Amino acid sequence: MRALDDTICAVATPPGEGGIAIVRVSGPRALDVARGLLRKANGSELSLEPRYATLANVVTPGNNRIIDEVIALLMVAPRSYTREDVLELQCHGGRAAANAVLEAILAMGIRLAEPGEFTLRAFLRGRIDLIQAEAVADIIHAQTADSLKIHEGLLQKKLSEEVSDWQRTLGDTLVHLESFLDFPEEELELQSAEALTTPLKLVANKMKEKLESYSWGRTAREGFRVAILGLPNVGKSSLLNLLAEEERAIVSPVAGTTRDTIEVKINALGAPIHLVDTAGLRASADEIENEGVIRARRAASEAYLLLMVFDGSRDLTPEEREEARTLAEGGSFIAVINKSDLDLRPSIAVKELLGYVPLKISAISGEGVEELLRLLRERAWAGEGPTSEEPLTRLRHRNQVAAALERVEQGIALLETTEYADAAANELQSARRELASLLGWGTPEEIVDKIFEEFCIGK
Amino acid sequence: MEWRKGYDVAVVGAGHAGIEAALAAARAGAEVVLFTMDIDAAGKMSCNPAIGGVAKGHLVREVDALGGEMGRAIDATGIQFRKLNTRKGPAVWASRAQADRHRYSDWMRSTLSKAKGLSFRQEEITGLWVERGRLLGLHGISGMRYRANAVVITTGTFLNGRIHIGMESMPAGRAGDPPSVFLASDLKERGFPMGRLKTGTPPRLDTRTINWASLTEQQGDINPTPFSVDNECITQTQLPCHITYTNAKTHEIIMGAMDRSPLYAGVIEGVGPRYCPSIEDKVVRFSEKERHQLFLEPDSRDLTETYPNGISTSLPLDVQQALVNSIEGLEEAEILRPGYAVEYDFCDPTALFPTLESKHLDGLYMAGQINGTSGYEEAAAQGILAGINAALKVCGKSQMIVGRHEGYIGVLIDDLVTKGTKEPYRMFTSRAEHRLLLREDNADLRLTPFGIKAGVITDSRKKSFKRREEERERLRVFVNSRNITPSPLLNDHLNALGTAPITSPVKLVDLLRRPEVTACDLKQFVDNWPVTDERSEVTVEVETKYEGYIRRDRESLQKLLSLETMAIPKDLDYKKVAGLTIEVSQTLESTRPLTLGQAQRIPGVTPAAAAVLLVHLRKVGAA
Ligand SMILES: Cc1cc2nc3c(=O)[nH]c(=O)nc-3n(C[C@H](O)[C@H](O)[C@H](O)COP(=O)(O)OP(=O)(O)OC[C@H]3O[C@@H](n4cnc5c(N)ncnc54)[C@H](O)[C@@H]3O)c2cc1C
Ligand SMILES: Nc1nc2c(ncn2[C@@H]2O[C@H](COP(=O)(O)OP(=O)(O)OP(=O)(O)O)[C@@H](O)[C@H]2O)c(=O)[nH]1
Ligand SMILES: [Mg+2]
Repeated sequence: MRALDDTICAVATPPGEGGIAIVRVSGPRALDVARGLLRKANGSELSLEPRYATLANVVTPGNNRIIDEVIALLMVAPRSYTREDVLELQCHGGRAAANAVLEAILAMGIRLAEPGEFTLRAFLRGRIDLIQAEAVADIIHAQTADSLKIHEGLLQKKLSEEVSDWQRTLGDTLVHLESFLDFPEEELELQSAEALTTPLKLVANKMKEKLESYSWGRTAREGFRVAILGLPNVGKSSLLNLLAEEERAIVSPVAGTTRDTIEVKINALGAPIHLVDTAGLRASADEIENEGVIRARRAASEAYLLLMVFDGSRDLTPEEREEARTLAEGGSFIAVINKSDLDLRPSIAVKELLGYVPLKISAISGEGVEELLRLLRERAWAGEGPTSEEPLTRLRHRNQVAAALERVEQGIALLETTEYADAAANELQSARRELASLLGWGTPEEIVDKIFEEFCIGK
Repeated sequence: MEWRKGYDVAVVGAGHAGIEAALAAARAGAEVVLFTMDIDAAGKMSCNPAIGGVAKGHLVREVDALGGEMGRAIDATGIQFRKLNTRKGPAVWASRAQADRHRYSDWMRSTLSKAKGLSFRQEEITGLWVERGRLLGLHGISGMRYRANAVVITTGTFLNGRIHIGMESMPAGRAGDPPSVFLASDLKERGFPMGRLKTGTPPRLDTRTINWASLTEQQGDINPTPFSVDNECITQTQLPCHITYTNAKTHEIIMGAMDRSPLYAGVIEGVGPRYCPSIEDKVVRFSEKERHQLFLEPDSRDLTETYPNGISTSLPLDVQQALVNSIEGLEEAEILRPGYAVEYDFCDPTALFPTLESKHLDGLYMAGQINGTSGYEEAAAQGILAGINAALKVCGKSQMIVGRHEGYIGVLIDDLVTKGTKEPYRMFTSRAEHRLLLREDNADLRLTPFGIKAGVITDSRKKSFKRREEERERLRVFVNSRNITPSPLLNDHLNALGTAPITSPVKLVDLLRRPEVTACDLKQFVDNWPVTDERSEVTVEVETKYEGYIRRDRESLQKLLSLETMAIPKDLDYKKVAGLTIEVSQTLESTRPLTLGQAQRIPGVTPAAAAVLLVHLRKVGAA
C-alpha cells in the first residue's frame, strides 16, 4: 500500500499531439513546487491566487533557465479534485514540454503518481464515491462509444444519485417506523400499511428495472465473452485472426496447434466482443495438448456464448457429433461451417444435429464474416440492443442492488401488520446498508437524527 | 491527612450509576468505599419517578443479569407496571414501571448498608489524588485523603450544576442539592475534555388539588413480568395513572412568556435533549400540533405529590402555575415544587476506553450522566460495568467489554466512547444494529455468563440461571418433537384466534410459527408441558416465530465479527500506517480504538480508511 499523504505528480493529459498538455501536482508540497519553479516573465517570484489562471515561466531552480511557458492554476485544499493542494500547469502541447516540466518537479523530490492515484485520493478523502471512482477507471479503459457514455454518466453520479434516492425513501420509511417503535408514549399511529409500503414498492420496481439492465451494461463494459470451440484444424485460430484483423494466433495445418487460450477484444459492428480462441477438442497422448483442452473447456464455461466451428471440407467425425451435442446442451451457441471456399460436403449431418443449416463462412476468403458479426452483435445485446441509458455495468453493483432488493421485498411483506415492525425495520436497515456499501458510505445515526426533525417527541 | 484505611475501589456519587458501581465492585470481592454529598439522597430519582421504557427496560434487565440492584428495587417498590409496544414486535416489547420514589431510594439505601465489603460515607470529593502521573485516590472536602487503587466517578448533573427557573438561576446539582464545584475545576485543570449539557424537569403538583374525576384513567398490567429474574411475580397492588392534554390556551400562555424563558432568552448555553424537550420547546418546534399529551403519575403511595409527565419547563413560576391551571383536570392544581432546568458539565466520553476507564489516567473510571447520558437506566448500565471493571483491574484480571451484538450496554458504551455526544444521550432500540438478538426476554441468557466470568454472580443466581437455560432448551426440544392432535376444543380456540383449524396432527412448532398463536395458547392442549416460567415460553416462542430473521442476523454478524474483534495494538503509531490521511490518523490517534470494529464507527473514519487499517493490521499480525 502506498503512502497517501505525500505529494505526487503526473502528466494528466493523454500522450500524443495535443494543443496543451497538463501536468498535475497534488499533496502538501504542491505550493513548494509553485514557489520553486514558477517565475514571472521578468524572472521575479510570483504568487498564485487560488483558482485564477496565471501566466508563468517554469524555470530550472538555480540557473533560472526557462523550461516552458505555462498557465498555472492553484487549487487549495479541500477545494480540489483530491481535496489536497493541487497545482496544474498547462504546458505547450506534445510530450516534450510536459516531460521537461515533470522532470523539474521530480527533481524536487516529488513522487511520480501511480495509475489512478489522484482518483484514489479523491475517493479516500470522500470527494467522490466508489461508483464514481470505478467509473473513472472504466472511462480510461472504455473500448466503445456506449461504454464511454455510460461511464461518463456514472462519473456524473447518475447511478449514485439514483441509489441515494432509494436510500432516502428507505430512510423516510424508517423514520416513521423507528419513531413508532421507540416512542410508544407519543401516541404515534403508524401510517396504514399501504401508505408505508407504496413508496417501498416503487423503489423495489426501480431496483428490478436496474437489475434487468445489467446484461446489456455488462456487455457494454467488459465485452461479450465468446469462446471459439471445435475439433483441431477446423480453422478456429484463422477465424480469430480474421475477426481481430491481426495475426494474433498461430495458424498451421498441424492439428493441435493452439494450446493456450488466446483472447482479443473486437468491435462487432458496435458491440464489444471478447473473443477467446481455444485448443482443438480431442483426446490426445500429448500432455500439453490435454491441458489445452482442459483450458478450452474452462473458457467455454466462462463464456456467455460459444462459437462452434465445423470444417465443411470433410465429414463430421463421431467425436465431433458427440462434442457438438454436449456443447449445444450446455448453453447458448452459434455454429458456423468454415472453409466455404473449398468444396463443401453436404451439410446435412450438421443440420440433422442442430436442426438448422449453420452459417457458412471462410476464414480465408472472408465469406459470411459480415453475417457472423451481425449475429454476434445480436447475441451480445440480447436482440434488444441498449436497454437502458444508465445500466448497471459491474457485478459488484448488480449484487449489491440484488441484495438490497431482496431485503426491501421482505420488508414490504412484513409491513402487512405492525406485529413484525421490528423485523421490517431490520430488513430496511439491511437494505440501506447494502446500498451504502454500493456507494462506500452510510450510518444509521442519520435515521436517529431524522426522527427528531419530523416528530414531536415528548418525554 | 490520610484516612486510616485504604480501599480497592472508591466510588464518587450515590446516584443510579454509583450505587451499581459500588455494589458490583463489592460483589466482585473488592474493598469498596462510596462517597456521596448526602447519604439521605442516595438513589434519588431526580426527575421522572419511573424505571424502564423502550430500550431502557432492556437495560434494566441487562443490569439485573449482571447481578445489579435496579431490577430488584423497582420490582419491590413499583406502583404501576406496564409492558409497552405489545403489538409491535418482540424486539421492542418493553417493561416500564412507576416507582414509589421514596421507597425506591430507601431500598437502595438499605441495600448499600447491608452490602459486604462496602462502606458508605458522606463526603464531598474535591479532587483526584494524583502523584507523578499515578492515581492514588481522592481528596475530600473534610481535608482527608482517601487511598484507593481504582476510582469510579459518577457525579451525575452535579459538576458545576446551575439550575434555572425563569430568569433566576442558582448553583445546584439538582433542586435542593449543592453543586460539585471543586471536583469540576479539578477535572478541568487536569485537562479532561469537558462540555456543557442541560436537562429539565416539570413542576410537581399537589395530588389533592387535581380534579381526577374528569380524567381518563390508565391501569397497570394485570400480571406483569418482574424486571428481575430473582422474582417470580409482582404481588403489590397497583395505582392508576391519568391522562390529560395541553390546549390552545396553554400554548398561548407559553408563547406569551418566551421573553422570560432562560432557554429562549439565551441564558442557558448547555445543549438539551431533543427527545425530552421542555414544553416550551415542544410548543415552538411543533407549532402545528394542537395538543400535547400529559401523564399524571403518582410519585409515591403515601404522599400527595403528582408528577405531570410531559411538561418539563424552566419558565418562571407564575407562568408555570398559569400553564398548569389551563390544562383540563388541573384547573385548581397547586404546584408543590417548581419545574426547572439544570445545566452541568460533562466529560467527553471519547476520552474513555470501552471499559469506561480513562485513556489519560490509569485506574480512573467514569459512569453515568457525567459521560453525557441521561436517564437512570443508562446510568445504572454504565455504573455496573465500571464497577465490575474497577474491581477486575484491582485484582489484575482482564476487563469486561460487552459487544454491540451482546447487549444494549455494549451499544450504549460503544456509542459514547466511539462517537461522543453533543446532547444528553438516551438509549433507543434503533441504535442497536442487532435489535432482534437483544430482547428483554433473553437479557439474562445474554449477559449472566459475563457476570459469572467476572465473579459477580451469587451461587444461587448461578443455579437459577442454569435452570432457566435448561428450561428453555427443554421447551425447544419439546415443541420441535411433540405433535398436537386436532380436537374440537383446540380448533375452536384456533378459530377464535383467527387462524385456521388443523385436520391432522402437526408439530407444536408449526402452530407456534403462526403469528396468532402463543405458547400460552398451546400449553392447555398438551400434556406434560415441560416448563413453568413464562419467560422461557416467551423466548422459545419468539425464537420460533423469528427463526429466519434471527438466523440471518446471526450470519451477517459472523461475517462482521472477525473484523469487529480484530484487536488494534494499544501503541499503534497511526502516522506510520501508510495510506491513512493525516486527518484520519489524527482522529484515530486521539480516539485510540481497541478494535477495528470500533475504529470503523468513529466519525470521519471512511470505509476506505478502515480498509487501509485492516491491511496494515493483517500485515502486522502476520509478521
Ligand atoms: C432536573 C433534572 C431533569 C432530568 N430529566 C431527565 C429526563 O428528562 N429524562 C431522563 O432520562 N433523565 C433525566 N434526568 C436524569 C437522571 O436523573 C439522571 O440521568 C440519573 O440520575 C443519572 O444518574 P447518575 O448516577 O449519573 O447521577 P445522579 O443520579 O445525578 O447522582 C449523582 C450523585 O453524585 C453525588 N455527587 C456529586 N458530586 C459529588 C462529589 N463531588 N462528591 C461526592 N458525591 C458527589 C451526588 O450526591 C449524587 O448522589 C434529570 C435529572 C435532573 C436533575
Ligand atoms: N481453405 C481454407 N483453409 C482454412 C480455412 N480456415 C482455416 N484453414 C486452414 O486450416 C488449417 C488449420 O487452421 P487453424 O486456424 O490453425 O485451425 P485451428 O482450428 O485453430 O486448429 P488447432 O489450433 O490445431 O485446433 C490451416 O492450414 C488453415 O490455413 C478456410 O476458411 N479455408
Ligand atoms: Mg488454433
